[in-house]
Amino acid sequence: MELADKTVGFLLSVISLSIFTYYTFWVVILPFVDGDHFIHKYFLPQEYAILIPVFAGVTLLSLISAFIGYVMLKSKKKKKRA
Amino acid sequence: MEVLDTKPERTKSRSKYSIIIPTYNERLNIALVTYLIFKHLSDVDFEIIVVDDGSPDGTQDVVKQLQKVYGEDRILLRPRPSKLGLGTAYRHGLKHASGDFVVIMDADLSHHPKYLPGFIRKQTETGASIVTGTRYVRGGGVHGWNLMRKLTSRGANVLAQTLLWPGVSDLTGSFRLYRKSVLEDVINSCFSKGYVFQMEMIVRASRKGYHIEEVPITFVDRVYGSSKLGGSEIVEYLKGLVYLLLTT
Amino acid sequence: MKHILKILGLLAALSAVWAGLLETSLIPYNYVWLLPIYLIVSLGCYGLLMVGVGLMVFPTCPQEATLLQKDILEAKDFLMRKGIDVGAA
Repeated sequence: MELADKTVGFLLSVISLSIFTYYTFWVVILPFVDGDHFIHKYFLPQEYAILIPVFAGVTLLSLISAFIGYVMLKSKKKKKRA
Repeated sequence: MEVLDTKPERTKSRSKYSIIIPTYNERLNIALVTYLIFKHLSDVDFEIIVVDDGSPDGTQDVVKQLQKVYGEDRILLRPRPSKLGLGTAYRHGLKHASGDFVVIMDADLSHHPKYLPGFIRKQTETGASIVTGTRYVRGGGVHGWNLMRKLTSRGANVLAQTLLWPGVSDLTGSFRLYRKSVLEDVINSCFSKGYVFQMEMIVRASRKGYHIEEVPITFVDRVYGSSKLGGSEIVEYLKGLVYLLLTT
Repeated sequence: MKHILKILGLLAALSAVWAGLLETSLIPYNYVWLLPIYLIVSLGCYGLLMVGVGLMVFPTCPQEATLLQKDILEAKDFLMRKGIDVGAA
């Protein structure tokens, strides 16, 4: 059971490092690389470098707000009943 | 003729320690905790102040029995009529504390009295104003936490560290030793409730520049196995973070 | 000084640096525009990394539970001998 926790932790670390590396390459390294280098195949067009984080950020904020709103509504209902 | 005191200066603390334990329905636990405190602090000058919030299960009767065994000067019962909250419980206990230092801890054995000598030693060695127990460093730890609990705890901790830069590794812990004057100063500037209160205390103390030390402690959640951690607790925590971010 | 002011100050300083970079065009334009987003993404990754690493090294103490049970038995024994009622759960 503990091993499962450690594995999840390891997974999260790997994911975060992968995202960071990919994004760094995409935004920092790639602009300096020639347009017809093969590595460009592995990366999406540059516009997505802005779109994806912004979209993810907005989604995350909406989910968090929805969660908070839902919990607060539930607690208000409980208070009314009490 | 001068008589030189050739005995080596003992690092044993000569201060008096007041241990404030708020209780609510801790009939068995308060007796167990009391026994363990007396066992581990056998050569320390201390008093236990039980602040019971009108427990219906007879906690106060057990405390009275304990007083007969250990003495009314070692165990003080200072009850209140009903559940009035943790912060006020500490303030109430503080009014009756006669020690130079005050320890706050829980009655349910998640805080084990065997760490008390370590707290005292750390304070004596470093002269700190506050010694706080931390579960998140090597030597410390938790038992009985599932993945969700660990995940939320870790996530909450990272968030708090990023936003508040508190200077301690365990913000919500409530196993702490305070110099009495420091506790009085800090507690009078805190206004939140519940475990956010614990966070507010340590953050305010940190902002005021008090010397804070940490000791590793182990935290065994034997009563609930895995503490109740629902959506409302998470929202309370986030609100507490924002409050602390803006007011400290 | 309140903590929030420290953070706002830090953000203001970073913004000033960023605006300065825009002006002086030392670095190509589109680069500079990406910089704040890059910083936020990096911060997010760092946070996630901290959570992951923390989860991996989370200190646990299964032996403490057994020790606690021993202590409880010892305490109960003593208390019963002294006549203290330890009936309840």
